[in-house]
Amino acid sequence: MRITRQHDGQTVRVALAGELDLASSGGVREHLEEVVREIRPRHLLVDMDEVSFCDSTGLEALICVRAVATEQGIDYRLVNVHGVALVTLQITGVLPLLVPEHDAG
Amino acid sequence: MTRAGPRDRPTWLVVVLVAIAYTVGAQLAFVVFDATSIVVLFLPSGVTLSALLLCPARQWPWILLTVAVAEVTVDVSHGLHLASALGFALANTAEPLVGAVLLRRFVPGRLDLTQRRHLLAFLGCCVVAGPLVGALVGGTTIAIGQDRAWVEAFLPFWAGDATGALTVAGTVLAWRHRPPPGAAPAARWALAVLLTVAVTAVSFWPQHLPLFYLPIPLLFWFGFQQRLAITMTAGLAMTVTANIMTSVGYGPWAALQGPIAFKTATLQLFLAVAVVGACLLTVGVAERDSARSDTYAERAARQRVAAVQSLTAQLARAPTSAAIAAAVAEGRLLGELCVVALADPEDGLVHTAEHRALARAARTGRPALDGDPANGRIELGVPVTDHDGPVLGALGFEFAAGSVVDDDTIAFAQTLADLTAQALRRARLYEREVSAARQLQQALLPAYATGLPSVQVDAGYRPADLTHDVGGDWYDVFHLPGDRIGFAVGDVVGHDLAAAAAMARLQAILRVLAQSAPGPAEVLAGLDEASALIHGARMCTVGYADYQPRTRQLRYACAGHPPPLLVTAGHGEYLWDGRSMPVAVEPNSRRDAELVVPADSHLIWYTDGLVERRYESMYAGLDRLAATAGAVVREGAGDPCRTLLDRMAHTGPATDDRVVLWISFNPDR
Repeated sequence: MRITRQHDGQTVRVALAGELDLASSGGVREHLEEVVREIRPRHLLVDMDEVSFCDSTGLEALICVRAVATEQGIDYRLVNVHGVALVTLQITGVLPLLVPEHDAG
Repeated sequence: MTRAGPRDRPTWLVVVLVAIAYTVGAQLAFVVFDATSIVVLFLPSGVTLSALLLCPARQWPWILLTVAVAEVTVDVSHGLHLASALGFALANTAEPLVGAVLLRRFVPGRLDLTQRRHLLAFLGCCVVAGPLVGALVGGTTIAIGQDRAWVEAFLPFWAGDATGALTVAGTVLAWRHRPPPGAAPAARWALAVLLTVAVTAVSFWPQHLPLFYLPIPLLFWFGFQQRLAITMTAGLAMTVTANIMTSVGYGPWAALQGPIAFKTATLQLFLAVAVVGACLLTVGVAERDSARSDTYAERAARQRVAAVQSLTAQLARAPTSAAIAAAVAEGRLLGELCVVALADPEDGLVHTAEHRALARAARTGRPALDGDPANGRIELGVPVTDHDGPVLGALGFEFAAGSVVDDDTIAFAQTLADLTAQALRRARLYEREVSAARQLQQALLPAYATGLPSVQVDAGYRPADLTHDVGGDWYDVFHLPGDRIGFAVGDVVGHDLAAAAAMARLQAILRVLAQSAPGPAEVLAGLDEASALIHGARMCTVGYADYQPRTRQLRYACAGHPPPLLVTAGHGEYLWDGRSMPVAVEPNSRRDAELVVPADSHLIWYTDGLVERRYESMYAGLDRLAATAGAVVREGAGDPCRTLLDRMAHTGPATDDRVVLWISFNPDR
């Protein structure tokens, strides 16, 4: 799992690349929670473009970060969700929670 | 008296040996190479030098005293004046002392003439410098006592003593300091000596036909073929023979005209040069051979280090005993073939008959070597032991016929076995822990209701591979008021004991909630409330349904859980309604859906491990499950859950638990 971070004014974009599973989700969660705590951006975007696999532990990590971010008033969402990760979000029903615009579209 | 060191000879023995050897040598000089002959070879100079170089310094005074006494005795017995005898005694003690002291300075440790530096130091100190001092004293003694020109006395003395020191001390040291491994057959060096004596005698026969150089190619040939000890012995034999021949009047030197001092000196010079040349050749060849064998040993050592590193890395990645055995067996670490046998956990014994050395190593707990007389292959077995504890197994290696399996090889094999033992110890611990956790998880799984009149229930559970921890998957079937039946399938995120414990808690809460809740949506809402009260509750997906046999009505709801599969007449169809988010994500409204179950249909509910595969969409897994379940129903398999789990298994490690709950609705009622 490779994590890259980009700052653009009030927006922080964290791009994930690789498999979001039992082995990697702990690190991803820690990284995102640190962004929430330390940087407190207005928008936190998690770029899922290069995530090739996402299991329930990955899902839980993304959802837990959402709880923390929402508490801080941060607009938190996933972007570029597709493929295997998109299906996991759809089937578990958390897609509208993590990708609000998807619901609209 | 000073105590002798463990490896030193007693002083009395040294004194006796030196006295005998020196007296014999000095008598030879007087009798064979008598005063009238032109021969000045003085072999005893080599005797004294050898004694000094081989004995500790505290024995030196005794040696030198013995030599002085022997010299004076022999000289006086042959009619020399006491003053001359004392002069020769001084010369013959100062000479080896100077040589030995200088040599010890340049080569403080163990002297090894097969090393070029040591050989050159020996030549410089003991063959050139020492005899130079001896000749200064001895030559002066002769010049005064016999009234000769000093140069004519000095040169022969130097040449004779130098040649004596070179050949005798060189031979003694060569034999002493490189005891040939596996000792050269005595016949070989006896043959070398005889051949040298014969060739030297022939070449020193004719006076007017110059053949004296014939022993040189022979010596050089020894230099190429033999150890330094044999070359040196041959050199000594050549020197003595040439001198005897010359002293009895044969050979070119006996017939030479001119000043006698130069004749005697050039003979010794010729012999010394031939011997030194052969020595240098021997040492050069030995150095080349040893460099070659060093390179070979280095390469082997490098390969072994690389093998150990690679094995260590492999073992670190191998969590189970089976994986460790595979890593060792396939590591290509040593020999041509490696067999790994692990002890049977039941009786602690290693059961194998094919590899005899391995079996013996396992039985005795010690390395074992065995050869197959039929094909000459060599078998090596080493035990894999837990410190002093039981034998965990054994490694067996097989080598091609003619391979060298020495102590190094055995030690290396044992290192590999020890690394394996370490990894096995860790793996056994891990396996025990996982097995305990598995048992706990199995114990937490509810005993589902059976013998229900309206449905047949079958359930299957396949844990993830040993390399993955226990998960939080569960299934449940229970009675509800009004003759209804409740089914549940759930999956708590995470793979550890905490997940298993959370699973047990949720399952119990769900059973209680289901007793009073009006429908599945309310059961899930109750689970939301309950998990909000539990600190650190994990996200989980739950599928819950209830069934009323009288009306064949099925109500179901999925909290983030994959949809149930309804198979009717061999055709699978997913029930995609009644969906909402997983439990413990955030408050959300729960929905359920309902349908009337067709006659003779099956409801299959499962956890995501059954349909999820890396690099493919879960939809593909769902399609495969629908097709497979349809086929299982059409075939009327007796054990549908197991059949389905078998067919849905894929190659590669199972990273997640897989659960299947199979409800067959009876056609009637």
